[in-house]
Amino acid sequence: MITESTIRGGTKPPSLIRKFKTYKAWVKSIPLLLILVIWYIVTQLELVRPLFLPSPEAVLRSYVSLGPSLPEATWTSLSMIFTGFLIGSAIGIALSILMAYSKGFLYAFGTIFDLLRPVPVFALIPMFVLWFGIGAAPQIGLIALGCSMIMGVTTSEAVRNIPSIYIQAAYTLGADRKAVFRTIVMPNIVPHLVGAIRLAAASSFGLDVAAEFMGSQTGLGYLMIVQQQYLNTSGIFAIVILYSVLALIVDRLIAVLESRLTAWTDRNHKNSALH
Amino acid sequence: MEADKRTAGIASSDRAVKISLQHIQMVYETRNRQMVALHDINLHIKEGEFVVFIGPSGCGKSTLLRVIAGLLKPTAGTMLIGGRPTAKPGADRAVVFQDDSVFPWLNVEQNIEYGLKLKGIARVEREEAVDRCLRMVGLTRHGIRKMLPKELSGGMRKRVDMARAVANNPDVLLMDEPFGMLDAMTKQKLQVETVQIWEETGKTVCFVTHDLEEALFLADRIIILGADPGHIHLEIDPSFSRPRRIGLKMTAEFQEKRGQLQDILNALSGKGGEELDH
Ligand SMILES: Nc1ncnc2c1ncn2[C@@H]1O[C@H](COP(=O)(O)OP(=O)(O)OP(=O)(O)O)[C@@H](O)[C@H]1O
Ligand SMILES: [Mg+2]
Repeated sequence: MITESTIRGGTKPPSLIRKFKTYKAWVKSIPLLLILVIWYIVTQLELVRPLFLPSPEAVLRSYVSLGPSLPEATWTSLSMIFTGFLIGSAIGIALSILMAYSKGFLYAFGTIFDLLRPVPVFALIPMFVLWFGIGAAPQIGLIALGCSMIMGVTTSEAVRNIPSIYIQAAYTLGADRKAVFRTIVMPNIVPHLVGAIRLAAASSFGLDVAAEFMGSQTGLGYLMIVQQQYLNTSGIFAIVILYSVLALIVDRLIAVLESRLTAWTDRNHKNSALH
Repeated sequence: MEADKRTAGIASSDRAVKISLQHIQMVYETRNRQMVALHDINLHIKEGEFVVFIGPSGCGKSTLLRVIAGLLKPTAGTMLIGGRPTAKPGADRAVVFQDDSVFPWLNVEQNIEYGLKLKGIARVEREEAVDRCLRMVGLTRHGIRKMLPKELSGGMRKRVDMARAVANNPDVLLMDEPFGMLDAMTKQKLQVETVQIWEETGKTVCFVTHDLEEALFLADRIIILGADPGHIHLEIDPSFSRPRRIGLKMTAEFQEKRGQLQDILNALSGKGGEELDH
């Protein structure tokens, strides 16, 4: 017999879901904690020479000793990264939109981007240094080039992947070319653009490090090279971690933007069909 | 078969020709060969006529609808819409596609008002149209307007698709198996609704289906297409009086015609070889 209490029993699932959520947060943090613990144990037992793996405390101490030079170096690197990223993304987005709007542009630049796609930007660094020398401008240029390439490649692909049935449906509902661009093409490529921006941001950090390694006199990458020359492994670790945290923060910020703009797609589903 | 046409009372012979296809030929260029999907199609559809296309799978029904919509340019022949040569799509001919074509990035409401917004129709009027069309296709669940297509079932999406087409108030409705995915009850309800909309608004409808009862129930004229290459095999006039009510399907006359239609189609697919319908 169905009584009120059996119906009220419906309050149980929420608590189960909450349990499941905390459980998930727990499971997610296990690998990270495990790595930290192993790192600590390994260095505590001196299983590896500190030159190769400094202890967590040593890394923390490095932040103190590096302290004075960190703010300026961080600022230099970040401003390079952002300038390069902004210029590159602007060019990339502009090209993307032109490619999305004009078939001629898509064919012309699409081919270039298709050819460039497998070429690693990092491989171009020596040539860049050869042509443009060392300094802020070539460094920013390199980051911008990398970012615009990533944006361009992603969008030319995105434009070609718009299901033609949506465009056809729009035409039969009275859309003209302009309206199709605004109401069909843009909403379809924006999620990819945001994805590309995320990738470009991550890559610009990498490009910055690489560019600074090539002979910059300021910035975090330069600071890292100095630590390497003094065999100060814990200093290198400290800077690597700093780089990672900065990149991670930027990535998270863009990810929030991404999930808002792509709510209509299926790829945000936490329970992917795989699992 | 003597015809007792529309309740509107206009004799069919007096109405103007809305869609005129003359020697339409459609050849698809595939990687290694040419595929003749339609061969020498001659067809005249009057304003306000309800034409149903049936025929074995792959005989070119969807292709024909796309040609009429202006989405496919026929390789030969001419098409006149309202007397004018036409080769481009337009808001006067709405399509309910066989495949899912609801815009996934817009919610239900935004989908339905898409065409109206393009026309610059005021918000209040759009709201009204959305309400009316949602009710018409039987989507009355609370909060449906703000739902995204991915949150709907396939059958519900199809109905949003229909609502979007009807909301745009086209002269011609081109519907490609719109009820194929629906359960028997919803299907029946929408068939009745379709007949009603049509009797009220006098739109010209081209409707593709595999369901023979649906064809007989809805059509002024049934056009049977044959395959390889797609051609008009036979035209049938069901000639049931209007307005039609759902009880019609139960009558002996209806069932008899259904049987005849089935025989014709069986012979047609039999001739075509082992290819099975469905
Ligand atoms: N884009 C295309 N390129 C090449 N061939 C095509 C294309 N679209 C359809 N065809 C071919 O044209 C023929 C007719 O296809 P169509 O989709 O019009 O059939 P249909 O009558 O709608 O079939 P169904 O009842 O299964 O929907 C088929 O043989 C199909 O293989
Ligand atoms: Mg079809």
